[in-house]
Amino acid sequence: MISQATQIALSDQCLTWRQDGRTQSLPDMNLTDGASLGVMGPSGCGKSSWLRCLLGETLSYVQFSGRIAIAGKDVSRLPIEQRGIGILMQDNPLFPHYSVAKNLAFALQRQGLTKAAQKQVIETQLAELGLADMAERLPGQLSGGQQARIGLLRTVLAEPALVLLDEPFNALDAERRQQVRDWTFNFLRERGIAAIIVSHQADDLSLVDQQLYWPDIAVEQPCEARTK
Amino acid sequence: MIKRIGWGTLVGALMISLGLPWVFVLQGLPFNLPTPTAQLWHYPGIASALRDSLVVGLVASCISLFIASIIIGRDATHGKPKTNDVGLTFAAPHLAFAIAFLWLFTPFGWFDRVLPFALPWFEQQSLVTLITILVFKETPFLVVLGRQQLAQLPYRQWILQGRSVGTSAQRSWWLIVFPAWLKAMRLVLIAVAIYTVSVVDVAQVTGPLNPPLLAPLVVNWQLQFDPLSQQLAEQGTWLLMGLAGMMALWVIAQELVLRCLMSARVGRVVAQSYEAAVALATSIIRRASLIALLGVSTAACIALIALTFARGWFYPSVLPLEWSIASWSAHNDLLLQRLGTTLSIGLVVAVLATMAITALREWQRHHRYEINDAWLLAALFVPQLSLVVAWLHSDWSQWFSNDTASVVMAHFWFSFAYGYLIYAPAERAVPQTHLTLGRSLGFGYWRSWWWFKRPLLTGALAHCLLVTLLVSVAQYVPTLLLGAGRTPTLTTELVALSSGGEWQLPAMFATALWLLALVSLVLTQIISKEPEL
Repeated sequence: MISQATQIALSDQCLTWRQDGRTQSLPDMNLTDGASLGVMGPSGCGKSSWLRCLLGETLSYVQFSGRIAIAGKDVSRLPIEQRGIGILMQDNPLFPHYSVAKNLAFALQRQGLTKAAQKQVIETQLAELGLADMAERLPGQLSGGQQARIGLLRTVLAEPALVLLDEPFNALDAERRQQVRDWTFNFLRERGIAAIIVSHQADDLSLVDQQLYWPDIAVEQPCEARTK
Repeated sequence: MIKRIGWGTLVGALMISLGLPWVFVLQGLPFNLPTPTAQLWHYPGIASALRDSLVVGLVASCISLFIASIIIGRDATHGKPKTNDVGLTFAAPHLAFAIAFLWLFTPFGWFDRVLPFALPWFEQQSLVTLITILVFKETPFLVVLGRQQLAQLPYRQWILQGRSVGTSAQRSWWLIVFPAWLKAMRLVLIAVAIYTVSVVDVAQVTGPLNPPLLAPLVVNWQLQFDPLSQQLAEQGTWLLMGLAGMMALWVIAQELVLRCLMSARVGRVVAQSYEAAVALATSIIRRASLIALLGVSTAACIALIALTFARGWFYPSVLPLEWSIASWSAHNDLLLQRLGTTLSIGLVVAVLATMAITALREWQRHHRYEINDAWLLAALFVPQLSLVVAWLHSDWSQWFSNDTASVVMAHFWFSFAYGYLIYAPAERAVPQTHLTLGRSLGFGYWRSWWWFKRPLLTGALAHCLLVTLLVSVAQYVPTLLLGAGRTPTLTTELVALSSGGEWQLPAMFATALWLLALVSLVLTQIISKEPEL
């Protein structure tokens, strides 16, 4: 039974690698509004694949089973666009052939706003980030930090209940990495959006509310059998 | 120093072989412009020829792009793209396909015998027939090249990001990936548009006759030696280049309009019922197109083979009076001779072009210098006929006094451009790491390439060989005009035979052409699937 105070609840999660039949159970996870969970583990352990599965992507090499509940509603069978889960990727956070404003407009289409209202929202949000004069620029004309911030803004403008961050600071140099990281966590917390961030760097997870080290148990046993 | 000379000699020789034909074009292009008072404008039916040529170019290239976009859109949104679904039609030589299409679908053709008057649109020589055949042939070309260009874009990531902010997969394709894909396809689309507006062989066999399209008209003038016809040919050449320029501008304008259209739809609210209707419509169009491509190509292939064994297959009989190998026995000498010439030239051209393309790509990677693709593909942006006519007026024949050498050189030049279109995107996607690593282990550049980079490019190299071979096999205008009739190939023979009322002999040559292409395609598939070391 999921408590009403818990916004996001992930339970009975199991990953099965199709090639060799290995399985990996993950502990149940609960996140309230604005809370963040950091998942750490070595490269190639399956963290990013797990995030893709939470998002709803079907992967050819791994199968995900489990329940993803948002405000008590199981969304695990819904298509990506209806889950209410956003993602920020490490590379190409923005569509390079569209201006910043157009990139942000993609996230507003569900809200039924007029073009004028969309423009107003975009201008206001960019101004809040101190990027007011960037609206008509192409992503290629922005710095890595600016791209990361606008990428996150786009994700957030779609009003997701949960944001997935897949090694989001990898493309940044050390100094900028810390700035953008601090800003990201504050930004999500202020807006009350839960987040799961995976990284192989401990520093990236210094501000999260919960931490999980990626379990390294992987056995040749079906998920059903493991959960019994 | 030795390495420098090696690269320098290699690339220098290549640049000369690619650049020299342009020198001959500049030298031989007759400056007899179609001014407002030119003789050309008084030629009966010239206005219709111009209008019809433009209609063929615009309609065939637009429909092909539309269908290819829908097929590729499905690839982009549904996992791994299929690779063999258009192979049969892609490999079919234009002319062989056209001959079979005519016999199947025109009045008194095979379908007319089974279902009389069911297909009233395809007259023996008409615009509709020509446009349909070009759409059938250009769509698979765009699909194959389009898939290569798509693979260069991070389209999966874009669609995933689009979906994560609430845009459906299909809408993400049209709004996010399609504009970028269209831009990446610009040069290919220009090449297709120019080909369709200036096609000669297929237009001669299936296009309107009275008046014909501009390109066949120019060939007719060129083949007559009276001064007036030669003057008309010279002016017609320029007119054809004007049409090609218009087509190139059209492709660029079309791209801009479509990209603006897609951009304007970003952020717009779309009803789910509308999205569902679009999804259903595109799914139907995609399935119908693929079924039509595969169905018509299979039927055409079978029809050609059947025609060669048939005796007494007269209208309205659905089947011939008897099957016999008499025709093959009677003409096998001629056929084998032409097949031998076609295959020899094709193989020499394919191997030379593939080696040249590989060397040029490696030189660019090695020196971290990218030559703009437009320069290397320029042969595709000028009507082939205009180029060949210019060569005929230049010192080309003094440099290449041997007819076969002249034909091989021209085939190489055109095949190089098509091969580069196929190979370059695949090569760009392969990192140099393995090659560099090999060199650090003491392997020379090309030895390292062979052992460490080539295995990653087996498929691309095989497809490059296939396409350059097919392009050479299908060459008509350069073979006819530069070879002066002394280097007859399956293609030139087939065009000559198609002008008569007889079906069997053209069918034999068309079958031989298609089988040659099919065998090459199957070999390519086998080589591409070989486990890589």
